[in-house]
Formats: sequence, structure tokens, C-alpha cells
Amino acid sequence: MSRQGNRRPENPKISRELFVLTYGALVAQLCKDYEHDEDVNKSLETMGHSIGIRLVEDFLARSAVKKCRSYSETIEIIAQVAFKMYLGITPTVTCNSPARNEFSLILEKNPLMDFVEELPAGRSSLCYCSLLCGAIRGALEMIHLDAEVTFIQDALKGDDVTEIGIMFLKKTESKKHKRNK
Amino acid sequence: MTSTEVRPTPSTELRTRTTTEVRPTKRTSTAFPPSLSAGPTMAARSGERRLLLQRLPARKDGAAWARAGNPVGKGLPSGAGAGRGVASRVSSGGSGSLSLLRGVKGPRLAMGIFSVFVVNKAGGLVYQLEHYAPRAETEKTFSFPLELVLRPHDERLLVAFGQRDGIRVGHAVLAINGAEVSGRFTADGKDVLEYLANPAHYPVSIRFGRPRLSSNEKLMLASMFHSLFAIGSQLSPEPGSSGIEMLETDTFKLHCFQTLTGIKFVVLADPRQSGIDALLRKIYEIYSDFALKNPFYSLEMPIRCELFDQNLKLALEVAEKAGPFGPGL
Repeated sequence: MSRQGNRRPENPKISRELFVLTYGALVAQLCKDYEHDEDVNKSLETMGHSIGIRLVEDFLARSAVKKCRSYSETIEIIAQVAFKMYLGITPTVTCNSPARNEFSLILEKNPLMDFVEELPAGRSSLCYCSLLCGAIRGALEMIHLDAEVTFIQDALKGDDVTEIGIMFLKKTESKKHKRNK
Repeated sequence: MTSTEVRPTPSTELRTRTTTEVRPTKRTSTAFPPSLSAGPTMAARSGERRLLLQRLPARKDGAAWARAGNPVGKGLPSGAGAGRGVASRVSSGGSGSLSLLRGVKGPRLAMGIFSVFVVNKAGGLVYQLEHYAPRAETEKTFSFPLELVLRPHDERLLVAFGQRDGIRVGHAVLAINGAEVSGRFTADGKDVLEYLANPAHYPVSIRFGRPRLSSNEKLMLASMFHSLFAIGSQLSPEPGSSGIEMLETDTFKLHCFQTLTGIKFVVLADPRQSGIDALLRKIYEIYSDFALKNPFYSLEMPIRCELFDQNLKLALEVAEKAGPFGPGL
């Protein structure tokens, strides 16, 4: 497929079903490969991480957002621009504890889990959407913000909504410009 | 330090500009009147040589700018071309001279983009493309004694004095009697200076020209620029400045764009070329598409993706011909 000049089609539509099916097949295969849920979770998270470090550049190139000046700004951008751009949903942001830089993203509906009712027996601690967590963590790492991303609530485990918790660790600076006396 | 890219002329000033995050000056080069960005008029004129008229901002003391008229056309963007005088500008030297080329009005020519560099977070060169390198080479036959003064510099023999005809100071010895020299030795392995000191070898035909940068030199220059970029942000009087965004000399302009992730895209272009800001954003998009989405490309490593090359060259050509990218392209 050749690209005509520099006119890039704006987001050529691929079927969402295909994407959801692909993700489902991925998780199912990982479950077959690994016995323990923690291994599956870890694999998903690592895969998500390598997606996140590349996705962030695509996001920055296409959305032209300016440098965020605070953690809450960063979270807002993630929720309102990034999630919208890639998954088509806009999670709500709540602030758990600004002093310790903890935030939550609450997803009412998660396209990845549209067709999943509940976790199979014996896989009760599987975090189905670990890939999302890994992606967020990878993306934040590339803009020099270390964060821990975990699931606080998971719709597949009986909660109402899916809640992703993001806790920012100490900000890593790329430039050492603290030499000004 | 090798400085073969910036030719030492009487009026060379290395001007750097660092801007804060909030840019106070609006760059007029991207807000081009629509009539000037039309393709057909550009194509019709691209082959002509004519004076490039520039309207310069009024000097503070009311005097007029003195500027040597330069016949320009395709193929003469850099000072290496024989017979083209480098623009000598009488300038006030203060901050007023920084925005000289901002107010370019009048028809724009399809001038060149010389090269593109991509530098990773650590300062290593990840990608380099020489799109257009004006290389003027002159070959002449000389008789003993040689009037030019040659001096070894960094594994090459450069002309130090005795500029004549097309041979300028800074040019390197490229070939002797048709055989390319490698560094300071001839093709047979003899030292060039000794060879030229022996009257028995004359008359000899020597080819001079601007030396090409080796890939090691490019690596070194990229990491040097990376450091200067960081220093630029510290030198700036405004707090919270970005690094060097543009470096302007008489013969080229270096534009740099650093992404939030630390990758730098550096474009060297003719000073009259506009639309480089949009081009840098476009290169960022191309990088995020063809380099990053390639699963076999590891981050921070040299980019060896054919699609990236192709699309980048396409984008450069579009930028040269049509100027700034429109919002829909």
C-alpha cells in the first residue's frame, strides 16, 4: 500500500471487533501458556509498556499538546485526549490524594471488555486490562514521569466500574540544570 | 574543532536564538500570503536567476541597510559556489539584526534543505540524511612552485592561504592527477605534502573542494550540538527556556525541534527557506509512524527503515517546493 504524497488518511478505520478479538486471543493464549495469574498479568503489563513507549510519540506528534506543568494537568490530558484518541472513551478523573500525587481514572465502559462477562474459574486474580496499565506507565516514563499504575477496581471482578490508579513517583529530570547558584 | 560547515568570512556571525516556552515573536514565515504558496507560480520561476528582494525592518538609527545584491537561482544556496559573493550585511550588531530574515516578502524560490539529523535522548546520532549538498569542486593544473599554502588539519589537507579562482580557503585536497587522495596520502600511499614538494612531479593537476563530513564527524557534531542545546537553555536569561531552536549563519539556518520525550530533529536549510517549523512537526509524525511502529526497530538505535527514508525524502521535497504545510495535509 503506497501512501499518496504526504496526505495521510486520518485514522483509517479498522473494525473494533477485530481489535477486541485480537486482545482477547492474546489474553487467552497467555492463560494457556502460563499457569499463574501473576505471570499473565506481568506479561500483559510488559507488553503494554512496550506499546506505551512508542504510542506516546505518536500521541505527541498528532495531538500537539504542550508540556504539562502539573500532575493533574497530565492526568487530564491522558483522560480527555489520549483515551479519546485511542479507545474512544473518556474516563473521569478523580484525585485521591494530591499531596502524594495519586489519581484515579474511572472507566465506565471499557471497549476491551465488551464481550467478556466474567473471569473463568481459577483465574480470579487475572487483571484483564493490564495492557492498559502498562501502556500508561510506559508512556509516562518516556516523558520522564515515573508512575505506578495499578487496578483499584475491576469490573470483571464484580465492581461497578474499572478504576485505574496512577501514583506518581519522584519526577525524573532529564537535564541536570540544578547548578545555578 | 572542525568547523568546515561554517565558512570563515568577514561577515560570519553565529547567531543563536533561544526562546521561552511562550514565544513572544510571531514568525511570519509560516503565515504566508496564500498567493505565494501556490504551486504553479513557483514552478514557473524556479529556473530563473534574479535578485531576491528582501524588505528589511527599519534600523534603529534610520540609516538604510547596505546589502550586496545576490543573483540567486537553483543550485547556489551555499557559499561554496564559485563566483557568488557571500551576502555582506552592514548590521547594527545588536538584537535588531536577529530578525533580519523574518520579513521576507516577495516571491520565494525553491531553495534547498541541506540535511536532516535525528538525535536521541543521549545525544547519539540516530539518523542522518544529506538531501542536498552543494559541492563545488575545482580541478587545476599547477606548476612548481605551488602558490597555495596547504596545511594538514584533522586528517585532511586544507588550503590555508592563497585563495584563487575557484579554490577557497578551507577547501581540501580531493584528488591528485585524477586519483583520489585518502586523507593526507595519495592513492599510492605517499605523503601528499612531500609529493607536492618535489619539483619532479610537476605539472600536477589537483582537485580541490569542500570536504565531505565522514560519519564519525557527523556523530561527533551531533553530540556536540546536543550539549550546546542543553547549555543554551541554561544560558538563557529567561527562566524555563527551551534549548537552541535556531542557529543562523550567512549560508544556512539550523532548526531544531526537541520533543517532550527528548528526541531532537535538526534540519539544516537555506536561510530563505520557510516552513521549516511545519516540516519539523511533519518529520516527527513520520518518525512516530515509520520508525516507531516498526516492531523491529529498537528505540534510541540508528534508524534503518526504508519506509522512513522514503517518506522523509517525500516530505522534504514537498517542503522545498510548496513551502509551508497546510493544516489539512
